[in-house]
Amino acid sequence: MFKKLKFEIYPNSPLVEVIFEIRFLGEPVIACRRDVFFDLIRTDYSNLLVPQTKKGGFIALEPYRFEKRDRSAGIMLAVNRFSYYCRKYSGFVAFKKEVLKLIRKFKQAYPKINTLSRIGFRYVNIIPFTREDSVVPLDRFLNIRFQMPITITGKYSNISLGFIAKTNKGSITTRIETLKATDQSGEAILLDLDYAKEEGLSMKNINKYLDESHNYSRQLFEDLITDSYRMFLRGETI
Amino acid sequence: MTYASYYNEHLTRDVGREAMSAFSPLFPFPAGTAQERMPDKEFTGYNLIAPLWTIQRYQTVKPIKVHIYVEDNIFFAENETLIIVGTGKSIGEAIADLSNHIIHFYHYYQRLPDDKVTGDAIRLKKMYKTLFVEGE
Repeated sequence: MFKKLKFEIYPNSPLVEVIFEIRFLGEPVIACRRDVFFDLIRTDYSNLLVPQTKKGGFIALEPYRFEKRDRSAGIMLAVNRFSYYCRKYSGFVAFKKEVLKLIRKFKQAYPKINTLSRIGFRYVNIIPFTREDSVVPLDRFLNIRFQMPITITGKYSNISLGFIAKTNKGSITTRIETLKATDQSGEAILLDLDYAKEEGLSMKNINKYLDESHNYSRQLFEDLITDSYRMFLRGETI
Repeated sequence: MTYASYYNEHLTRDVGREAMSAFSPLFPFPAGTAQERMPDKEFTGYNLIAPLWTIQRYQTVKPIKVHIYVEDNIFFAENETLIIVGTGKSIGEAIADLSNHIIHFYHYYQRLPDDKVTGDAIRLKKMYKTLFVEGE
């Protein structure tokens, strides 16, 4: 469906983080031999952050983090999942290349993990805005209409909305929320898209899952934003 | 240092989400990818670039790119193309001040004859001439 799509890279992109995650049945080898994987990536991801005990939590399920020195990207590794997150996204080609490189190292460290229980791709956007007549100008940015009773005017002061929708091959979780810094120094709309698949997954097809999840998320983003906001993202501004 | 304490000390300082938020790391959606990753928590608001589509009652032909920042508790709203900065005690005040300046210069350049402008003013006069949607 999205095979031939080519997406442009926006100079004013609101993307703040992109994450790809694989989940699998718990493998104790990961808890026992984290060092094996760390040795393979420590040159680039040298900062080690360990989980803190939480009351009522299961420490074995909490991921270790291996981050780049400048914190621009990192890996989360737990007995049942592996995630890569990137804060300085320079386009899908570079992101995919890094994910595939890390997955190769993961397979090298833990060759027995072949079956996946879930893959997820998150596309987190933070869209700064200024109010118009004290109202969040949502329709300037997003093609979203709420069908409400007439007693609700549609002039929203704040928004917090989330839904999970089924897709052909998985689901997409969408979160739209207004954010405010506590010191009132700025406001933004959070647009958090999370594509997931949970059936018939295999390590061999990660390349395909990456393309599929990125294409879906990006297409959804393109469908959600208005033409006037796209103009701003492209740098067609005054 | 654990990342939980690192997170608390460095990332969530002075940052709060809306009190009415339906979501939190404690109550995420049931199957969220990398649920620990909540980049919105790192939203500080400093140094924002936001678009403006209307200046008072005027609709602009293109979004006006506004750089919003705070220095010494004063808010600044700046547009580099028009070389205008608005200031105020809040974002709203800074934007209103910026808007007043833009409207002032819009009328100023409209009145100014072409033969009276030199240098960068020629560019600005052209810019203001096509700044707003006609008929506004």
